[in-house]
Amino acid sequence: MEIFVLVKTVPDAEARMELLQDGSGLRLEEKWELSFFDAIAVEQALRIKEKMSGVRVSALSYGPRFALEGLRKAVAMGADRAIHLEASQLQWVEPMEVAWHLAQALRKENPELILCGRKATDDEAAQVGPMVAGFLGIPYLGPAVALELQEAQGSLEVVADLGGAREKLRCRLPALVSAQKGLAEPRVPTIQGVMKGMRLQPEKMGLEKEHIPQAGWRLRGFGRPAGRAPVRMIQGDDAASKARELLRLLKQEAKLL
Amino acid sequence: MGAEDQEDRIDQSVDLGGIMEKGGIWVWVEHWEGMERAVAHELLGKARELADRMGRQVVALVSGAKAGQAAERVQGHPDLILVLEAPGCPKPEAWEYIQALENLCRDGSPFMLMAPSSLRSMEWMPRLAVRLGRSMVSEVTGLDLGEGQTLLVRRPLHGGRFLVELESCGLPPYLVGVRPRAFARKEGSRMAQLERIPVEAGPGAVEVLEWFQDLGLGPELTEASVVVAGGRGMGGPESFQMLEELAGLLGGAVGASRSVVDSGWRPASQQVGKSGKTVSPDLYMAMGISGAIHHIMGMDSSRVVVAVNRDPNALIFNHADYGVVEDLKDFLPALIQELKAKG
Repeated sequence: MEIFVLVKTVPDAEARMELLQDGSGLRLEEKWELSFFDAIAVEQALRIKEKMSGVRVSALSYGPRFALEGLRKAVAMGADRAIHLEASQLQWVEPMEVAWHLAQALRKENPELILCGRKATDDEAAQVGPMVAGFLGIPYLGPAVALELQEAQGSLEVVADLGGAREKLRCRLPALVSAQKGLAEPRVPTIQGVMKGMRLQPEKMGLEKEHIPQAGWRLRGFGRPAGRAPVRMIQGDDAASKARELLRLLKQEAKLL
Repeated sequence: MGAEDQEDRIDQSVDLGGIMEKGGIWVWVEHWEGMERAVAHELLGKARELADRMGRQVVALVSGAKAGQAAERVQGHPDLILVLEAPGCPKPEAWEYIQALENLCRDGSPFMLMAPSSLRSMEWMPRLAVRLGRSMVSEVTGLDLGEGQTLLVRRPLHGGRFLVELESCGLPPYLVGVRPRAFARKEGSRMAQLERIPVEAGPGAVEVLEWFQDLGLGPELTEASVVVAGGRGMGGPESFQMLEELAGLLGGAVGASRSVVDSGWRPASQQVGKSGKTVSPDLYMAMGISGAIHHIMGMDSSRVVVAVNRDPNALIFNHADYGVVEDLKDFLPALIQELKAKG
């Protein structure tokens, strides 16, 4: 069985980020990590591999040079293969274009199961997974908090988190499932795994040049949200007087409550 | 390769030509068994404002079990409410509805289709985008009209540290997922015509085996106007009872930091931050939360932030409007008592 995991490399949460002076882009410190929910997807794929025989787990990533970092992590965790769809570094890429390129690559591989994180932690678009399913014409299920394969029937059961409700879904393979927190706790790579990741020479695939979906949006620029005024520390003799003062300020100054 | 594409296009037999104008602003109404999500009103209010500026119609779309009830509840702003009905197909995100929606979009040529940027709507909207061949934008917090009938959207990036602004350059319909609480709810007094649209319920590729609602967790975190969140500094799971009480008094929801959820003190559905939910309430109270960047990414867009922590150097104070240095064991009971005294 072929399982593909779509992985994205994102800036580490602690990475320094600056707005370019003219607002045309962001400058990011070179500190990367595998996106949080994608790591869960990799873990889920590895658990299936460990439970069943004849499973191969491939990690696939679209992105510029730094996409290698997320692939390294996937291999360090135990993925068998890593494929890099090399893209140029842009300040803004439409999820639809990314999904289209990923779908083109996946068509050549024909996996039975595709996993991805429910969203990337940098842009939180939550579009690429369902769009890849849409391009391939296969069912999309998620965000999954539980997944079970019925190998004999060639089907799959998933418990999806709808935010306030859950549903248990079933479909036939091939299918694409997005991973929500709670699906599987990502393992810490072994030393051997880390070494393997460091030596990784991913298979490279170029991007197709024709029939790319038309762009729907033009980048106008980047900015910062309105900043917060410096914190006002509330003084008082005891907890009760601080609580009173806080409520007074929330009412009179912040016009709340 | 798969089931979705092989399904036949459902024939859309209802003629809406007489009542629906092309180029309208359409809003997908998310509801639970007939009870609309608060975000539906926020979207409809914004749609009304833009439609009035353009001289266009606002069309609300409702589907799934008890869609008729939800339709009645979203009166006020729409000019027309379309109720998509597939008997025996209760799931509003089901493939049949999406297919019907695709047909409607092709026939009705809306200017924009808005939906909440929620777990549920992001299940279908990206797939509709593929079918229509229109790129979409999610997590939108700003919407405006540009010159020459373009659409300007703003959305946060990198946990709200930055904003990116985009302008539509392709063809409508523009598909937009809007973050809950990005726009204020406005009252309206329009009474829209309700139009029922039969949708053929074919054998879907995905079978719903079971459906269960998370109960007893209060208002949905992303939609609450007040969020009272607790961190490790709360001391233990039992002290969250005080937060429940405080949230009850303020009409808000309880949130939690990642470490609290990972320790099993609170359910994952209450987690605020990078790996949890992003919230933008009017008032966010961070109780015993240190202020790690992972947490800040999920709450920095809140309007007013109150931080209470024993440690005067806690990072959370850098992201707060009001700060209190105090032990929560003393402060929470005092705050609850003050609120009760004021009635």
